[in-house]
Amino acid sequence: MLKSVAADLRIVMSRLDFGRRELSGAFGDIGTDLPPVVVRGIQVGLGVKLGTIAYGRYVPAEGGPGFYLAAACELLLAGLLLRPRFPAAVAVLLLGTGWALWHGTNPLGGTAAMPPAAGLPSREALWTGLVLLALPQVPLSLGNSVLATRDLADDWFPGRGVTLRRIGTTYSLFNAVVGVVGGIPVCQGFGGMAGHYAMGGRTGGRSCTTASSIWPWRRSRPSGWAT
Amino acid sequence: MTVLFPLPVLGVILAVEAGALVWRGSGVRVRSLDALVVLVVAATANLAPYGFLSATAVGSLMIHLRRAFRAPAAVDPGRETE
Repeated sequence: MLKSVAADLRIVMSRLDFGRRELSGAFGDIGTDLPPVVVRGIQVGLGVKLGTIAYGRYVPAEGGPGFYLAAACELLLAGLLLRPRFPAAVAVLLLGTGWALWHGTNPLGGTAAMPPAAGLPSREALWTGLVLLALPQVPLSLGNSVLATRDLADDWFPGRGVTLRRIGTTYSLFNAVVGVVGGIPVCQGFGGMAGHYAMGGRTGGRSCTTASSIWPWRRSRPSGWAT
Repeated sequence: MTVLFPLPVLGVILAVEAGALVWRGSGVRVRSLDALVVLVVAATANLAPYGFLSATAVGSLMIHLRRAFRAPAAVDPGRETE
């Protein structure tokens, strides 16, 4: 009896491993099919989009004082980026923290981490997410979050074994977990990697620093927030 | 005490990421046609519906068309006589 169960388990595990290898191997196939120039174009397009959001929505969000704060941050960054030994991002975050503490609660805007809320999404939510979010996200994810990240990792961290399969597998697994604890989709994209590198984050400890710096900014759910 | 992080600071940090993307994406050591593809893909991503999906399709189509038209010229005439 035990032998037959063990044999069945071995068959199931081998089939699961086959499926995992087939799915993750698809990243390599797509990586060779998608022209690198198209990936570069996606990066420029994403950069323009993010720049529009940054200077069109975030910087003007708090009016005149917000512009002075942004200008101070830019000057600080410009000065500190010339001195790579000091992480410029820490100085900017400290400036933002000081500003927030000085002003107290800010009704005009801001960001905060939400506490996890475990639960399975409904079938309608899954379908809506697939059509409106996942489908348009596929080329962006493949181009910017997988292919471009591998290229940059090869350039800046050679010999670390960052492959398309590893990036794709960790990216997919993490978002599958995040979805059932009420989180938002995230990626290990090129822009974030380049941004962290430019601001002094060059090791794995950078992720721990980021997570611990976000935690104090949690707040209760605003009224009307979908639960 | 509930304190919210100021959006202008996040905007500046996001702008650094945007700058890194544009810098890397536009730094293609390529021919002029590749630069054109980068521009078209970037514009499509920002202007067309289903931006990045459309941009990938348009860019891939341009590259495949170029390969198709260049294929005869890529044949080495010397080899044909061997």
